[in-house]
Amino acid sequence: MDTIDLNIIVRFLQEECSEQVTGEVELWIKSSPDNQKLFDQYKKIWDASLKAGIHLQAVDIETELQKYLNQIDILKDHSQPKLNASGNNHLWGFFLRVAAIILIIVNLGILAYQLFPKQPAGKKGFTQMSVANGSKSKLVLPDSSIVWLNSGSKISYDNDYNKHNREIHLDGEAYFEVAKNRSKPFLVKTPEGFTVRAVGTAFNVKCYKEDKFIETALVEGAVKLIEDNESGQKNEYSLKPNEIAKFDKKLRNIVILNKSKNEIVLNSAPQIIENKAAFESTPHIETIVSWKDQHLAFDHETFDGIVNKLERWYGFKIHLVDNNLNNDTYTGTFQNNETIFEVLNVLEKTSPIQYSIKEREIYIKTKP
Amino acid sequence: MNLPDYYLILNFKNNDRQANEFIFRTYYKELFYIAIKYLGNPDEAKDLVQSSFVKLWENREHLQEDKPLKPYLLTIHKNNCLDSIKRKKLNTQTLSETISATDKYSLEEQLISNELEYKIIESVSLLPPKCKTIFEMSRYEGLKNVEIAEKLNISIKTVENQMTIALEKLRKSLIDYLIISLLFITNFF
Repeated sequence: MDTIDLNIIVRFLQEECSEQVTGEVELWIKSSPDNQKLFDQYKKIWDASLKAGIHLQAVDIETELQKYLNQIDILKDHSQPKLNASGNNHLWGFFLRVAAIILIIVNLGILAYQLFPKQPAGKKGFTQMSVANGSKSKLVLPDSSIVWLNSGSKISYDNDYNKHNREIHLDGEAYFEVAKNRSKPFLVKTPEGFTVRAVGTAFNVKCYKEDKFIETALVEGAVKLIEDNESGQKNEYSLKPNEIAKFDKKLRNIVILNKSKNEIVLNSAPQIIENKAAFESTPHIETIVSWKDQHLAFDHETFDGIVNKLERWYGFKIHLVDNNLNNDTYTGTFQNNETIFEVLNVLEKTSPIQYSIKEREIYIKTKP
Repeated sequence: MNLPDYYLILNFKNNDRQANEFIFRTYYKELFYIAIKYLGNPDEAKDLVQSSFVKLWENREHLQEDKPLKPYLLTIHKNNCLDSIKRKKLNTQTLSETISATDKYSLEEQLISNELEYKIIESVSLLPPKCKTIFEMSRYEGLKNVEIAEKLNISIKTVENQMTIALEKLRKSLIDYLIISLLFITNFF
């Protein structure tokens, strides 16, 4: 048999041939290398199309579509522009943002000036800059110091900033690169009578209202921490590069540690917080400052901490349904401007959680 | 002037739900298969396709109505796939798991066979409509010829003929891939 009806080969592949025909086809295949080659080609398509079918059966397109539409719905409500760290095509957006920041500052300056026109000279109101959850901002102060403002944070300064000193009020988290000027110290004041004093240096201060601690991390240079205690006196502490200070707002004790050297520099109340516990609950300094480079980093973070960070970072309301998720800690970094859904998908794969979206809010619970 | 996606893109940019659904349904299978080809895992592929569609939506302002949508979407998706592989490679643990779990040859074979599966999906979508429906019912849905004939109210002979036409058309359009993939097998086995 030299030639064969293609119909028969197809039915052979479908296993819908009689025994006799099956034997004939097998003979035909073995009768020449060309026949074998041709048959192998059909067989390859046949098997690959079955596999393709198996993969396709694994997806329910309607479910996927619903998931996509939910994501779009939730994103529609949060369509603030993202601050992108790099990329030339964002240059125009960058200029617009800078222009917007300058405009806001100018506007607030004018507004403040009109509100307080009768104050004595030198106290002509203030400038305020705030960033909503889901955004970040970078601004240059009148003395050329640079401030990166993290999500949900606010800074303000009087309009005589840089005249006699440089005083900033911070609520939230900011990273500072302070322009050197020995004669005018740079002061970051937090609402809890806790001040960070710098001359020329780079450091991060985190003091969100709802946080338990005020956390100061020094990247380079030197800063002094000044605490106004209840008796009206001042306690002062110095930080060296790579050191992190955690000041407990309520108990007013302080721990200073250096993660890279594995060293507790100071613990003002070891009976309240053990050295080991303080050490474990503090992230590495690289993790602490990574937000300014748009890296979303977790370092031994519990789910409470992760949820807290995600809410600020993306500006979504996230509900943690189960409390038993806080027994484990997680470490990892997202540095490609991932969407919140990409982050949640990774968390779903690497931890015992699953998430759902209801009425544009996110719910996280333990996997059943 | 032929502007096939003009109104689609216009509506998509205006956040029209139907346009959104249409684009998703039209390109889902193809994007899914590209992702499978790169990642080899349906679960990861699903997530990746989701994020590509979200990225398209986020970038809808940049779409031009007078250009076809598909190349733009495919570019977004392929970059997304590559980023995902890069991220995976950064994760040394995943990489070492991949290496230990599969030896070099079977990994290579896997890639070629994924490529062929993806090409089949693409070629099937180009078959004549009737031929396409019958082939999909047989191979993707696993139906027997009798069942297909009953469902479509046609004779078994027609089903058989259409299957033969489909297979021959696929073989012709995929001949280059078939040669590579069969060469590979004869070399190593």
